[in-house]
Amino acid sequence: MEKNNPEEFKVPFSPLLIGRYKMIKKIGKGSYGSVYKVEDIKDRKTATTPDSPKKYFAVKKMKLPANRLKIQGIDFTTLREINILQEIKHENIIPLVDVFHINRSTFMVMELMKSDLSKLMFSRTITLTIPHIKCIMLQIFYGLKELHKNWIIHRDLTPNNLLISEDGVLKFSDFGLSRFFASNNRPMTQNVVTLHYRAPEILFGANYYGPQIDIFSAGCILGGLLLRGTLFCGRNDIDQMSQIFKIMGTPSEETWEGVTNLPHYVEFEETPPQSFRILFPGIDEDLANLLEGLLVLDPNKRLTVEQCINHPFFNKSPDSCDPDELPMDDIS
Amino acid sequence: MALRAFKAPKFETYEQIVQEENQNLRYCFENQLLSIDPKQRSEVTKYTKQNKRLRLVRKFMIDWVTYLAKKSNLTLLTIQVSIIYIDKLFSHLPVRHIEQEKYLWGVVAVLLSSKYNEILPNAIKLKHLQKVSKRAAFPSALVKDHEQRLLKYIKWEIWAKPPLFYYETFCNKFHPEIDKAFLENLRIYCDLALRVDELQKCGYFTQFLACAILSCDRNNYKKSNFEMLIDIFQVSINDIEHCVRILTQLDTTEYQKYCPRSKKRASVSQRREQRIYCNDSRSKRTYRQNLKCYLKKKAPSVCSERSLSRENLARERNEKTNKTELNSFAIFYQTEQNESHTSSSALGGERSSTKLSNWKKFKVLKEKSNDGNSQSISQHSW
Repeated sequence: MEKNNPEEFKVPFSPLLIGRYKMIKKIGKGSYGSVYKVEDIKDRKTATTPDSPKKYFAVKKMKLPANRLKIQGIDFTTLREINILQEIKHENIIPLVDVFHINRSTFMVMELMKSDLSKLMFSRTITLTIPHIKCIMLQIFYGLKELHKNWIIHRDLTPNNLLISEDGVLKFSDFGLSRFFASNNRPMTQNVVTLHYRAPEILFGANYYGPQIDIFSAGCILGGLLLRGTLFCGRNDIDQMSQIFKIMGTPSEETWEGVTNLPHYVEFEETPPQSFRILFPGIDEDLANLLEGLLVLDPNKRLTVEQCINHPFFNKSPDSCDPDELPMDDIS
Repeated sequence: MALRAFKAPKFETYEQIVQEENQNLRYCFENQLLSIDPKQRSEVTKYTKQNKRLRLVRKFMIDWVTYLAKKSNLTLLTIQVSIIYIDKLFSHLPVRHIEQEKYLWGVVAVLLSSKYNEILPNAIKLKHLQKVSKRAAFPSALVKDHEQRLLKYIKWEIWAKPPLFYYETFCNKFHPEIDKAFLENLRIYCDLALRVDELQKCGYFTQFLACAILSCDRNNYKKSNFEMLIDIFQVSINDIEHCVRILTQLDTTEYQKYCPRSKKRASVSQRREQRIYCNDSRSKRTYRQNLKCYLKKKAPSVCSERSLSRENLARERNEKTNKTELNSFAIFYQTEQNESHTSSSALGGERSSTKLSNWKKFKVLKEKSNDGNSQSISQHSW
């Protein structure tokens, strides 16, 4: 079966990386570069027993436009990603095993994960119950708590960047856009976060924002888990804003102080906010409250990570399931 | 026609400084300090294990990095990150290897730190760096190659949080309750702790050093502030005590070093060279002279002599006034001067006018305090 897919065996460099990692197959591709499954040969050589299990890792080969490499050397996004992964050691953040450089390409060796959240979220064959959703969301909040505690904003929180191990442990990955938010009062770029998970303050072109943008993305993920799809599916910035305001209501100076002063502020047709209990009939009142708290338009009124973790939704029965109880076997 | 002999650029010769250093080094606590085994061994400790020559190369490289960063309008935080990278390089590579290519390593450190710290439009570009480095301009391929080598040597451990980062994030932004004068001193000490390699002999991280120096500072010390700092920096009091013990020895030597009794006048070539090293092109002072000035001007614990002389002057002028008033004025003047210095340096204001205004302020306060007790003046000034 594998032979039929030419992409999987297309390895652009020597199959043995730095004499240690044996290339097995290509497992992913994105704007950042490509991901390969590798086997650690050194580990096998040093193993005491011959029957010891093989150790597999994922190697991320960072892609870089040729002209940028010519001019600037190693990409700054790669440097920042390495920096953050080295700094934070947490159960819900993917660990960085090794980094090396071959022929102008940077490789990051990371733990091999089974899947990502998008597969679990968009799969029609998997049933996600409230305990499953609680388990996933709590893991997201624990990861975010660790990041925000270390003054880091992820800035690209999407289901594709949340990887799940075989044990059901959810881990944050792709820190290419992350940055420290406490270092200075320096302006921040607006070209962050995937459009469908982008907070309204970024869509309005705010130059100064905080960890609340990650909370909004988490709210979009929670909505997506309930909807089994994308909650706000806009085609461009304006469309995205209109999608958000259809549900959350149009912002005004009363509901969001200072919104009219934002650089790209556009006045939308007035629409009242909708209740999530109407949008998702049959959901718990606490869950609806949590969703509302996560998706509040005014970033200052949005819930913090700690408030999310201590939310009554998570303290109420049914309790959250254990990570290994997540339906990982059903993922193709 | 006689051909003019080719002259190599003078920038590289620091052998003369080595000789000068050896002449000035009359005291040496090095052996004593290195025999101490601090609990927390860091990269800095590895570095201190290396020889005296390294200190000179490091000093030179810091000057070079500062020069490059200033020309490129990079922030102080970026300079500090590049100094950390240089220190990391020293801990992984012998000095003789770095010494041969010290300019290149400096350029690479600045490039890497700007990528790490600066936001995208401000991040330095290789072309600009070549323009700035003038004589020491290197082909971009070489810089890129060394960038990879540097990362390989430091094992991709690019994590670098200089003390200024702690100051900016935790103290300045999230703890506004800490005194401004205290914070300003902390910033200065953080900077000094990283730049003066003498202070790094203790083998402690810079935040330990900053805390230790602050704990010795009589003028701005406050228990509550100090406790908060310990919380922020996550350092233990035992370590600070140990650090202070070493620093008390270093402090005296530092003072002697920067204020030697008899110093030979440098030759013309040496002076020219010093001008090139110098960070402040207008005043044409060497780094060490700058530092001496820096220590005298800003650090109150170090410039005790100067402040004392001012106190005496004030005493002579106001002989008629009683002793209690004089003491309170001296304290008031000293603290106000610290505060006004920070504000005036930021706004570019006149320092001479502050003295008068302080005296006026003091008079107003004195009048007010006539109603109450006299102690309120000193309490206010503190």
